[in-house]
Amino acid sequence: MPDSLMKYKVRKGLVHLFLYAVTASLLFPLFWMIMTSFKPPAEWVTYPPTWIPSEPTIKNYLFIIFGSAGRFTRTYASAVIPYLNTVFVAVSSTVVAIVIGVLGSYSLSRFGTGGPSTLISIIMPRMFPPMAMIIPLMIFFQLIHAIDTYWGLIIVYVGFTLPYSVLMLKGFMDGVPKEFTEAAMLDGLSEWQILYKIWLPIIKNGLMTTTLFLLILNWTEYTFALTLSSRGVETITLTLAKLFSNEAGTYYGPQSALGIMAAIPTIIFGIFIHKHLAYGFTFGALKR
Amino acid sequence: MPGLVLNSISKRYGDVQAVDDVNLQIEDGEFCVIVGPSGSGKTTLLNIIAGFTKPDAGEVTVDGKPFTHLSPQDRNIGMVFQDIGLFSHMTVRKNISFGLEIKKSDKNDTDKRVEAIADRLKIGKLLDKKPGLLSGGEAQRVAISRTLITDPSFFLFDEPLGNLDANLRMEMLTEIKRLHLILRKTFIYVTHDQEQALSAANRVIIMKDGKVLQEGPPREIYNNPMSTFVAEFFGVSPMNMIHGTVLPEEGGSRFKGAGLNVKIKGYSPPEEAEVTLGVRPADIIIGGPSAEDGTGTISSLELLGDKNQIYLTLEQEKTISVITAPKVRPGLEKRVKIKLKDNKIFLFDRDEGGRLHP
Amino acid sequence: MSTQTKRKGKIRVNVIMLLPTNIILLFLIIIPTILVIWFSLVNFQPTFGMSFWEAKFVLLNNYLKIIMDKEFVKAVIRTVYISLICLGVEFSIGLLIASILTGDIIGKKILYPLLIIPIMIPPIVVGNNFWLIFSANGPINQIISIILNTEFKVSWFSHPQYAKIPIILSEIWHWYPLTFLILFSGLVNVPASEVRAAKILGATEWQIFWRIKFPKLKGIITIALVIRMMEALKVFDVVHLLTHGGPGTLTETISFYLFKYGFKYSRISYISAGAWIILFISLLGFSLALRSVLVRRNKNA
Repeated sequence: MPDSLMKYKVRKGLVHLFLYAVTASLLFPLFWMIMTSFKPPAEWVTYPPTWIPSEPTIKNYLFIIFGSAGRFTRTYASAVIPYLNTVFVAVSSTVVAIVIGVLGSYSLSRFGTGGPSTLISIIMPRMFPPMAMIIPLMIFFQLIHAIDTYWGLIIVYVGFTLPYSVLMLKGFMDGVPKEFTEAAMLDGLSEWQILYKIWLPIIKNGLMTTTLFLLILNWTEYTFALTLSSRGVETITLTLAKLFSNEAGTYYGPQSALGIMAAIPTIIFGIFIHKHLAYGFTFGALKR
Repeated sequence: MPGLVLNSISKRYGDVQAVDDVNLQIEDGEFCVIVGPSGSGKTTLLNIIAGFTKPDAGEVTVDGKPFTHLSPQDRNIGMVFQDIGLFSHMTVRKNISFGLEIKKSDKNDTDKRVEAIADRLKIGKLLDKKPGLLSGGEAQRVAISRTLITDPSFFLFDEPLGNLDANLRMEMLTEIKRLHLILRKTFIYVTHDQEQALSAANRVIIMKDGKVLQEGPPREIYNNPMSTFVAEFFGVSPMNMIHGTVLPEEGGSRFKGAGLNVKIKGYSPPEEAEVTLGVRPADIIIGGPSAEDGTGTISSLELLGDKNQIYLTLEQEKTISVITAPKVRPGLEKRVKIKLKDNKIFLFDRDEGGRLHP
Repeated sequence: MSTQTKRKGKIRVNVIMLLPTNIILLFLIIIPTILVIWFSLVNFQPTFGMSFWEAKFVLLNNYLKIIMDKEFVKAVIRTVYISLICLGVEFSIGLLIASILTGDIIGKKILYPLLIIPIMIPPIVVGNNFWLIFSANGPINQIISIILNTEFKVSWFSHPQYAKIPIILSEIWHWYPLTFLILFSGLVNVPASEVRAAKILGATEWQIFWRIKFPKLKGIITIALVIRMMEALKVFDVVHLLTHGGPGTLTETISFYLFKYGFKYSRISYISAGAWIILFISLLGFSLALRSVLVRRNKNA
């Protein structure tokens, strides 16, 4: 094999090895969680720690799906409804936040509406420690009867992810070369059309990334779900918290099981995005 | 002594054989133009020479040394792209000095060379601008400067004038030709525009469907096309192609088609055959003493100053184009007799398109 | 777009587009914010059974009290310290993986989703997970024992020096996919034409990365860092779960501090003032960082 080809292959091999090693160590906690989800209660906390369950069981998963009655001091209901609640709330709030965010970030990126202060004022809410917002928000929500409602929770989620939506999307939009916009303006397209037909396709990866990020934020949100809707709309983060109680030890097995199940939808979405990431960026699109 | 040798290069993409067993030898210092329609494989071939694509089979050697598996970085070649690819976040000056900076060249030396090259390509006043502000022509000059400065052993051009206005194109092409004369290095230039090929090249290579159809000096390609495709592809005014039959005869054969009746000397097919007759517009004479080859009706007449462009309709509604001297001005709708210059008549096989005669 | 002429119609479009954003933020944020300002300026203590309009004005008293509180100041410094470490490591990991993964890698399609997973797992689960891993009888101690060849059975969460480590590691683990994702999108969008041109000019992969790709990412990187820093400063869930701010107050972060005084001791006014101070500091810091991103995008830089 010629020298240059050999060097090329060896380098490739090393890079692959390194990458796989890094991935493996990064995935170790995940591995542990999966193993735990299949462990019977006896093996949850042992010494030396049990790496692979000797008697793997799906009882933890059954516990999540069907709940258990009266086995300990509390009855744990099935996690299916909270799961569906989370799906609904997370997806709707993400969609709304993205749509509004696209409009807003286009306005900022293309026109610089309102100048630098607008961007800061949009991001500000996110800089505020949520802890301090809880009580006022609770009081305000009680006033407008939004406690324990779907729409109340969704609005809060939208409100608190909107800053990120706008910020991230603006970042991606700032990278759109002016040639495309100029060509479109020459073609007589309206601003809405320019946004929809030209800019959105160009920032497709950025759009997908932002959507994924927002989805994750909304999916795993705990603080507001706890304070603003714990009885009416239970999301899985609350269910998870219930499993982590101080009575009778903590239910590590079912919690790991629920953790896995909670992560699956977002994982699938992540795979879906990867297929659509456009590799390369050609100016050839200008020649029509 | 061939500088660059391509040996049985093949490359397939899925169902398509982009490059099909291509063999080429390019001499040192040649201005070699690879022409062909889109999809002919010329860009793929260039990418293989550049090192961006690895061939499925075959080898590339330069001065006897194996090139095939070298990465583009190690090939010491220059390349000018159709989409230009200037580094948009750097000034023109930094774009040009890039090639030297990454080799950690002496700063003073680099600066001087940048100035010199900018001067030569007349972009001195653009040095501190960013690429976004340049026009197409200016950008391409910067791209050329950028690649010149590293003093590569040969140059590749991938349709560099495609994004420029028509009038700018000729100007840039002249500059590139001049560069070639000055540098005396091998230039390999890919384009689909036969006009560029004809005007600039020492040597033309015609590709279609991944194969090399014909190659040689432009004059020869023009005068001696090996197939209907080559004949039609080349020349400012396309060759007229008339379908008909050829019958053997005493002293040669006779072509009959679209109302023409032409004696072909020096060609005797074994039997009657379906052929295509090709003749260039400039090789048809209207009127005159020996105008016995056929009759046509003048359908249009354009006075172009140094020549006239006339369209004639023959039988079966076949229209041919004729180029004449300015003084030849038959009236419209007039029926005239034409003569095809004897040694400028080509016969091609009807189905395959391969040349039968001369 | 300084070349564009602003006619009346044009101005309206851009305002309309920003309108929904403004409405929601106004509605949802401004009103509670006003309440928080109110709280910070009064002496509101719900445990004493008073409704909030009965509280009396103490103006800047709360602000002064909290600035003087050593625990508060320590919590702030501690949180910033932890956040910076997390940020640095996450950024490095994210950059490293993103740049490798944009190349020609076998198994890319599987690795990519796998590497993103940690951020999709609810923080509570992450906390629970790291609790298990770092427990005295857990695998981490086991692995270290094997490496050091002696028994290593540290109680991480009650250890004065080491307690911060599981918190930092769990945060890094949870959040590195964010930088990875953002950097990856950015890298993938670098024009192929420029990369090709650089290769022909002789640039090595390393040089291409630092001279071509990285400079183009500056805007995106700044945003990623800002977003991450904002979240990092608010870290609460894992602290609450793993160490409960302990041992003592050694791992109390800002949010935990506010939580403690807000919910445990019901000193709403106190923490409202604290929240405003935090906001003020953050605002200052982030305005500086975002300066380059704030203005309308420059001419095709």
